[in-house]
Amino acid sequence: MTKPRFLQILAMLLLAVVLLAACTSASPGSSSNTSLEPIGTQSGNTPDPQSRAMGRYMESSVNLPSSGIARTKSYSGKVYGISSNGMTIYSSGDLDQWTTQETGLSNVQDANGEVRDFTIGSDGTLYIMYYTVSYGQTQEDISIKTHLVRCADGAATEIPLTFQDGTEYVDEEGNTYLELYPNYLDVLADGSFLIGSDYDGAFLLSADGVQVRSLSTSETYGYAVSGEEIALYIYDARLVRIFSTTTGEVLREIPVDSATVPTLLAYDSTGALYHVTSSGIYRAAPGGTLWECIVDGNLCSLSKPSNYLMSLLFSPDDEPLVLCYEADAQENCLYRYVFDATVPTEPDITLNVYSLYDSEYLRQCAALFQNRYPSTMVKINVALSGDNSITRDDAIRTLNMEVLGGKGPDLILLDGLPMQSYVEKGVLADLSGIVSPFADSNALYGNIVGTYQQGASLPAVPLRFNIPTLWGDVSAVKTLDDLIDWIDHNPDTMPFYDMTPEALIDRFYLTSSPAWYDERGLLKQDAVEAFLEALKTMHDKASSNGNEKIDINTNFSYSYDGGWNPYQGSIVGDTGDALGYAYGEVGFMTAVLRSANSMILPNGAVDQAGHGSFTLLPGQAQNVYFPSSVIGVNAKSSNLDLAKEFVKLALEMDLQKSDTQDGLPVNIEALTHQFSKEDGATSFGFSDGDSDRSLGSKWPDASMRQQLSSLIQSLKTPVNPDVRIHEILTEETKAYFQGEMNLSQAAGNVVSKANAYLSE
Amino acid sequence: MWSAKPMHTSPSKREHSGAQARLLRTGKSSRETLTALGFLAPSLIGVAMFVVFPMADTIRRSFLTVGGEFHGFNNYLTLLGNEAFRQASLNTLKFLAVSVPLLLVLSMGVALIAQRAPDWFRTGWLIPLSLPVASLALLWRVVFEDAGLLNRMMSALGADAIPWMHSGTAFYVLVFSYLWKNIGYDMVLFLGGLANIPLSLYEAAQVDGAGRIKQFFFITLPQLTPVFFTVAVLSLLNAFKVFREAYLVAGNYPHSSMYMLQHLFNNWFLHLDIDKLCAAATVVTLVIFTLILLMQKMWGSHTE
Repeated sequence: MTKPRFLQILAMLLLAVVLLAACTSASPGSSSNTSLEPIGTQSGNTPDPQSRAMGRYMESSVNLPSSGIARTKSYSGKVYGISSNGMTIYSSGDLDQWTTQETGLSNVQDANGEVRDFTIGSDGTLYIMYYTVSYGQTQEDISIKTHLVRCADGAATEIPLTFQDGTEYVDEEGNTYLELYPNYLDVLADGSFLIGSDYDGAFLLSADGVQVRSLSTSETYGYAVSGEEIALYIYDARLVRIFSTTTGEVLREIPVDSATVPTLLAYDSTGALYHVTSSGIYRAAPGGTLWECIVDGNLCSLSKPSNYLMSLLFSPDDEPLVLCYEADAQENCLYRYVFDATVPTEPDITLNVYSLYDSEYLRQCAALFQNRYPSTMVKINVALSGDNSITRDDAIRTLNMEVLGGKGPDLILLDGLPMQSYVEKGVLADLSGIVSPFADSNALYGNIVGTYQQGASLPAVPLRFNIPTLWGDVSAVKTLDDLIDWIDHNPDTMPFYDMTPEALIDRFYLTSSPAWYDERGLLKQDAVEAFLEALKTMHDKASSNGNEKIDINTNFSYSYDGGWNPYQGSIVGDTGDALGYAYGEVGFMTAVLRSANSMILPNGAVDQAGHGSFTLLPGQAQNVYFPSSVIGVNAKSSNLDLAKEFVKLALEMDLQKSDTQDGLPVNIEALTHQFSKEDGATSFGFSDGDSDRSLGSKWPDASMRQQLSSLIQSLKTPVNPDVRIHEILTEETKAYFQGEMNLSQAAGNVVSKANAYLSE
Repeated sequence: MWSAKPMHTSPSKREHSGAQARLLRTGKSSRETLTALGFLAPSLIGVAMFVVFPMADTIRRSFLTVGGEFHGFNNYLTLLGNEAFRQASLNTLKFLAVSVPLLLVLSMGVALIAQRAPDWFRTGWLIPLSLPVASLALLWRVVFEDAGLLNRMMSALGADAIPWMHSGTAFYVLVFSYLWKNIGYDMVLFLGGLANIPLSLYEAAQVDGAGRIKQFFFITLPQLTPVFFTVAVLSLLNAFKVFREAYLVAGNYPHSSMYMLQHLFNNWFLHLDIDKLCAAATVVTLVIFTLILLMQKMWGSHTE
């Protein structure tokens, strides 16, 4: 073979290799974690145990001796828990049998107080830290005090606390407040105390309660003591700093990922330091400075949004235990993490869930699903998480490419996505088989879950829904015209706090827009004209009535470029409405009911004003509701059955009862459960700094809950908010509201632009 | 050059030599063909993979539903009845009709001036080419926003502000943007064409008493005809790229006057309307191809 020919062949071979290499698909192991493609094994294929890492901490629940346990700790191979009132201490050596003992402390709740923390000394002495609240002549005349007591032989002896800078200050009106709000207590081997206060730092106090040293004076969220070491999480520095218990000098520092705030720290019996967050449990070896994630929070209950982490401790076998407050059940749960060498480190199956926006409810579903199916990992891909700079359109484009390529997610949360297109194009699988058993037993609101029914097929199911409501003296207000009449008859009172055109569009878009579409799905000019005319009349009348306390502003004060997102936050209604109503300055309030808690503020205003009720918000359409957390299953999912099981679970009472504030449950029993808290577990108040006005919240009473139940049954018109139409409406009507364009022209502009968009 | 010298041989010998020469030439020719193919292969494979096959697939999909069922010409019929497609097509055609001739005329004018102008004049026209599109979009926003630079200047001069990007003027802003960006590029092409015109033609015309205008119409323009074809085709294709600026400045849904076909395609993809998208892409390809053929018929024949 001649040299040139050899070179030619070599060149051709190289070319072929380059071209073929470029065309070769990536190896399975090279798939990115951020890809929508399921990682690991698929379709339930069980991997060869020989070829993969084995061993994982598995979660189980520990039965607590009482639901009233405030804190738990572990010392010398025993686990302790203390009751909220401070009267009882529980202990167990095997987490099965618990011993109950009286502390000798009188009920601190009688003094409006609560136990903050407790500790056991090396001699077995119990110390309790609690606070008490005392009132003077009025409710506002308040005094809060922190106490530390030593409990021995059935008696509690107070140890007076003396901090260098004092612990209390007295305001101009003579009320006493704490400078520090200690929430952590530990006792060192020499009998001195470590007291931590989240916002103020950590302090070493002598055995008689006198401050010896400050270890930290900035925000400090985690505390742990072991032998010669004290560990504190210093928030500003984003690290755990280890101090010497004897000299107070810094021994070492362990950086912490800024995304995780380890509010709970603890040492095990070997001196290894642990911290826990919703993302998992992390361990640093004795003397070490690196964290190792030993429990993935996404695979257990730690990531449940309804769980609030309260204590990290260890079982007699040095297994991590985490005490959580479960907001749905309103009780504490103790989780135990035991290493199981027979379980694969990573779950066998990954169920990919796509959502444009982060969803508390979705995370709640994922946590419970994984709990029920330990061999499955639910991976939630939130496109607009805030950690990236992609736009909504970019996210949808990427999702479409994945779907078209047959590599889409298993489940899609359709909020904010072109749902109708996905339904029409057959992207979504039929879920009627999942919903039917619920429907047969009347467990769900059929009018809500059937929103997207297409013949016999049900391609998407709303897991939540929202109701736009009007609060006030609503008996005579059924339509927008009634509201205009009300303004005519009440020239001295404004209907709402904010009467700017954009606020009015926001208030009434949801209840009016369903009436604007014709049978071809295009906007009807007369309907849009009627809407704009009603809003303009309201706006003009309110402006001419002129009330100085209400800010009337005809200018669009801020841009709406991509700013309106009906799926997140409050759409309409604000504290201004509620405060205005309570003080008789406005006639009505609007609120979108997203949870039982969204009723307490307007209800508080009604209660304070002494009159009023609520009804569906009037608009051009009647009986309007807003479905949210709408879920669909990718018809081409390789985990189709599992994905449908996920939807089934998401409709069950166990999950639906979670009040994640992103919509009312579609499960009837769950809705009843959410409203069943007679005491109104959530309560708050606020005041207007300028005028010294205040407002409290009030839980809906039985008649109000009954009324809500009837209203839900009457809902029949779903609204699927269209951000683009809302944007066109806002942009094209500026001149009309400013009196520079006539009604027909403004509505014509809206219809022309909107129909070009709709006809795409 | 082995056969260049005449050979005095017998006919049989000549025939034999001829056959041998043909054989040798054929052997050389196939070797040359193979070599040429070897060099062309990467390009051919690339074009086939990234242009020909996707185009063929697009045409195939234009006859199918999104689910893959045969749909005949229904996608094309849907297109004809689609208001958004009609509006986008009209806008795009209007843009091509206004901006491409304007660009040709202006860039040739600039090239004629640049022939005798100092270097900085040419460099100045080339600066827009070096600016990234994202920066340009930002610049247009600063200049043409409702509270932008231009409106502030107009207010300072006592004139009413104009919503440049939210009224019919948006179309002309787009035309201006296209011209500003592309004049320099076309100027370079025309300068190349002008440099190729023999000076002797102008000298002869001058001797015959032809003035500057006559020289332009009877020498420069006819001599530039081949360049016109190239510049017109490139300008036409560049006109479709103006969508980038429009999209970055005004998003998916700009003012209706600058709502182009690419906006529609982009939005269709967002709504997974792949069937309509493929049909429209096929139609647009045919239209562009026809336009190029027409231009070739008009100017291309002069190139031979």
